[in-house]
Amino acid sequence: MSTIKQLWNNRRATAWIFIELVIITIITWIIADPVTISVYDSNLPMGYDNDRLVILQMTSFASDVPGFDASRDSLEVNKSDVETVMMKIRNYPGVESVTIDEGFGLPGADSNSFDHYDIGDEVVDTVVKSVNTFVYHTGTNFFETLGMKSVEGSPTVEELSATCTAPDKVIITSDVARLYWPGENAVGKKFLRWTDDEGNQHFTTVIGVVSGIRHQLPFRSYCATFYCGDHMFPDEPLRNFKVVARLSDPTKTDAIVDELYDWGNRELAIGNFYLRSVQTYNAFLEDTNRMHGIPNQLNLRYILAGFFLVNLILGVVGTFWLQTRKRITEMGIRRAFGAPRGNIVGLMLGENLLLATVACLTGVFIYWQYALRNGLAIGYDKNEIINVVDNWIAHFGQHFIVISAIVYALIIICVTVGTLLPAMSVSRIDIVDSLRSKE
Amino acid sequence: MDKIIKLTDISKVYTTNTIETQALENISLDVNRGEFLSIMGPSGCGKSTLLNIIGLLDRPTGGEIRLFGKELNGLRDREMARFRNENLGFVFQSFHLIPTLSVIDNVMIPLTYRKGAGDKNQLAREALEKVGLAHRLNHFPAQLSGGQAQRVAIARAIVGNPSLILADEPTGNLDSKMSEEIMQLLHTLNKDGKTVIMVTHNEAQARTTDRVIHLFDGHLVK
Repeated sequence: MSTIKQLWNNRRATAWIFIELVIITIITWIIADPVTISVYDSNLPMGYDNDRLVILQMTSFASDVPGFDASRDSLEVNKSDVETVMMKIRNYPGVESVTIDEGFGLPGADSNSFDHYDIGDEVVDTVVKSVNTFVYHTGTNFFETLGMKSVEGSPTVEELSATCTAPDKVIITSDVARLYWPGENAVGKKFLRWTDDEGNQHFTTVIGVVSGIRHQLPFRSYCATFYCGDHMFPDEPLRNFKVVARLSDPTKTDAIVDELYDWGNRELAIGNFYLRSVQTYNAFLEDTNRMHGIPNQLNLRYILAGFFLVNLILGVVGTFWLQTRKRITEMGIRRAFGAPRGNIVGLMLGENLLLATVACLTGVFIYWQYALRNGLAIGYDKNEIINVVDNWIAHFGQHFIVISAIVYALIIICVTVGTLLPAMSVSRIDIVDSLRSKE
Repeated sequence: MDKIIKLTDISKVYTTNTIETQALENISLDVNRGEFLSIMGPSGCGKSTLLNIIGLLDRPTGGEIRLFGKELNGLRDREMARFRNENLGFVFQSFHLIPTLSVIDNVMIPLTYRKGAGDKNQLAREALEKVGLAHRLNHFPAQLSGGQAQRVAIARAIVGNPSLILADEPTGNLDSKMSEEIMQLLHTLNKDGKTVIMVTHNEAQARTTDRVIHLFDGHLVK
């Protein structure tokens, strides 16, 4: 009560600090919201074992270059060579399993294939406009090599990898399942794929659900479906493909890259194929991010936020520092009449924290009014597909509370530092010197 | 007589990087309970320093200080603060009221730091009544005259019922009429049993007290 009274009595001086803190709260909110979401999203698990995967990019000699062996270019021999490559990599020490990708099968790949889904007459209240489609090859241990997990009620990933979905079955992620059939087991549900000229409806049946995956680092999990590619060797030999190898020891992922490259240069020159590159899955994701300029944009966002944070700290700490130093005489008087040093520090800290709390709540309330009309930050990408996220970010109340708490914590830390250090210093000044002070 | 202050060979040296200044040198002094003592001397002779040492606002660099029979040299900050709070009341030349607190809140300061002080508000009102300022409870220091401000300061000094009042030139910033009022108040407190030690330049005021000591260049001269 006396703290409130003291602040009120000193309102002419504290009013300016109050207004400053309200403005700082609002600005901090504006900056902290998108930065927090980006940082949070970037640290979400990818939904698969990206830390223990390496990618071996295989390619073949062009038909017009020396070294090209025309006798190995038949569909049958080409298939056999691909299988030999995969078998050799699978047998490499430390490799647990391998799978193959032709270009549309890997989460995080630069190339994407999107599709539209409907479930017939039912109206689905969703902002999902499109779903990313991945292609896997039956019998290549696709899901378990990537480290995906099937959800409850779905066949195991081993069973899903062994099942061909073409042409009328599909495997979906839990995000798709939640959006189209919330609260239900999606296995056995059907998408309406198309209606022919005679009005016959053609459906695709969901045969499995795997946990959500993320596409790129700043994005959240998004809608994805998996079809088996029945066109792995359609009518011409395979020229380029990736082999994804899952390692048994994730700590050796980086170290094994050079080792695999040296080995692959010797051992994977099979038929017309040769090893072009080896990289970790994380390096592959970073390449994709770089290609889209994401690191630069994120870094710019972080640098601006950091710059603001430094200014915030200097501004708030400086303001409270000066305010605290102005009270040297008062503290001398209080100590003369029996206030111990600790009490002096506590008094100043209590007053300033109360002021900061009231100002922060006011600033948060003002921003809340703004956010009700304009919404909150939705993350790095404004693409609608990311809105499938079902965590605190998607819920206005939770989102608002989390960011408000961060803003409050930041301001309280600044005020505490700006008060505590000078208050401790003031409390150590001799009482006589304090009473003589002109501050 | 009951000696409540016993100073033995008190010295105080102020040291900076280059200079050492001897503010007090081997001061020995006894003060009896209920005494009204004046300390006189030219500016810079160490009067206020001596008063600050007696009031535990400053520590001597040598000698021994006993208040109420208690040896105080080795006390920690928290113990010193408690001792000041329970036994001493201060009146300063420049009043030293906290400008952002009302009169009654200023007077309540010593009670803020005392456990089991009772009804602090009531005690503060009573102290203000004693100094004739019960009608100024909610005024702020800036709204008071010099004499009123000093009376508030006296109320603050006595609110915790200390045995010893230390007044450092309490009339130094006041005109003669107000000075007289303040001196009357101090004499009243003394008659009520408080021991009062006052630093003053005013010989006439000093003569009204029980005993006068003179300092010169940090020495007790008579």
